[in-house]
Amino acid sequence: MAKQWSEIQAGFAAAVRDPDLPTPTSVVCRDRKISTHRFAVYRNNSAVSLVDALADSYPVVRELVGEAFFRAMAQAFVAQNLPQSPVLIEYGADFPEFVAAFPPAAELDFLAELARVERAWREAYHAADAKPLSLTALGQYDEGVVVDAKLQLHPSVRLVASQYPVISIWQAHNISGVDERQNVLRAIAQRSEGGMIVRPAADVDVQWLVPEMFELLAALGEGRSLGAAAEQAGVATADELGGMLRFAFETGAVVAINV
Amino acid sequence: MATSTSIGSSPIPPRAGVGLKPEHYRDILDGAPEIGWFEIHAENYMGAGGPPHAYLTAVRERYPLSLHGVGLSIGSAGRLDKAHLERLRALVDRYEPASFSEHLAWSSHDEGFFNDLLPLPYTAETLRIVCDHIDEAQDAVGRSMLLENPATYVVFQESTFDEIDFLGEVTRRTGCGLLLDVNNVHVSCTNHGRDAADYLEKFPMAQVGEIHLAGHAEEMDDDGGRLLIDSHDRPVIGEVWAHYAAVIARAGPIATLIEWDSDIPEWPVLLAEAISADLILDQHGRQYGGSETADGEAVV
Repeated sequence: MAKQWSEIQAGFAAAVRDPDLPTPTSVVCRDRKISTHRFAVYRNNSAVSLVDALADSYPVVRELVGEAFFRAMAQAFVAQNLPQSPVLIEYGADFPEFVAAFPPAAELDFLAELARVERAWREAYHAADAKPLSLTALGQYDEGVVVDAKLQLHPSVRLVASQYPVISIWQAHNISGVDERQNVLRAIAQRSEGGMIVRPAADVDVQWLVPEMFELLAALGEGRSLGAAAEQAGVATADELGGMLRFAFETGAVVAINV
Repeated sequence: MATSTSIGSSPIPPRAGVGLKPEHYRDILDGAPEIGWFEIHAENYMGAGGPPHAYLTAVRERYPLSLHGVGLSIGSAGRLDKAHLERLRALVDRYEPASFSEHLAWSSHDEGFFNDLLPLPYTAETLRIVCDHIDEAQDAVGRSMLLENPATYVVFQESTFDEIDFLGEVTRRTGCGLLLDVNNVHVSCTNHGRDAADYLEKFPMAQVGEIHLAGHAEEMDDDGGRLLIDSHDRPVIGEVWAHYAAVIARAGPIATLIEWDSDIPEWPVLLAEAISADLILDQHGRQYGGSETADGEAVV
């Protein structure tokens, strides 16, 4: 009895994934001979197109390590991680964890955390749309109400904290003016940092944050009231909180006030 | 004469269209080029929001749209992905495309999604599977679809059907239409030592609602012969234009897409390819109007 398609397909799929497996005997070319060269076109198309997808998603990591290193690293990831959905926008969410554990990148500690910034950028780009509120929206409430209010953050908001200045590194690779770039590079050497990735309208913004601002947004993102979030972030004065809220609204990070 | 009226109440106009690429959003919206329609890869617009949807909405307000899936895996032995069918349905509801098409191929298996259009044998068993999947897809998406002939590098010992007979039988059983990719015909026929002109003469043109044209790469095979790769990264070659002109001369004007998916050129280069297709369509009575085309001027 002839082989079922499910059985033939399973063999084909396994051999596309594993170049060490022999070419399936079902597969022939014009002289009816088994063609390893022909079959390799499928192996290559699948692997290369997925490496390309990662290369598109992690441009700064790629620029920093160079094309050859990046493609070798991406190829190793692809070999272990086939997409679980045909929606490639979602592919590579685990790539930063893979980079962190990739032995040849072990000396580049910051690389995985930079990859997290780029992943956050990608997620923010495709996140649901929402209209940011202006700070005046907060002004309509009494102070007592505001303390207990919860601020709903924009669906695109992603917070990334790092022991390395990965936000500054990202910014350095995306700022074209040489002077600005040098300024950012100068700032790099000193600090660990956190940042916010947000897409208030069409463009994705990557902002570095002082630790208190990072903590405040993180607490608001967890659903804490404004008063509780300010306390958690160690915000000392009302003036300071006012300035931080101005920043949060002006960056487009707030889309609703729930009292 | 074949027309695209069989594919729904709002067919793509029988003119040249191009694949919509982010690199060209601004050229298209600012320049308002005289072009018949645009096609998108459905999977690129399955995010929740952001610029892709904003641009697509703006393009859709100005031009007819064709939705072309690359991830449904109709040729798989296993079941279709219900979540993916729902995503396709949501796109159809949101953008009301004039046409929906997919491939005679598979791209997912238990391991995951391969991001390539992989081949299947043509047998009584796979015919039944493909027809069941197309029935399911047409029900889920709520409209008739077009099925595209594949570019292949290998054939299967197990095949008992000719590809054209297989496609014809699928249309007969499911009521779907066909998307004739002339470059795929040239690629597959060259790779398998078959005469492309003969293949095209036998193709059931009455079922064809759309044509694809694209560029391909050429390698040397193990036996020194030509091995063509369907790469979509360069202009359409002369041999494919000649096959296309012969098809249009026989069948009349049919909506024709220029596909260019990697090494994407500047917009004028892509537009020039579309104009080349329009010139051929013109010679065979291209229609200049329709319910969704904004302008009746010829692009030449």
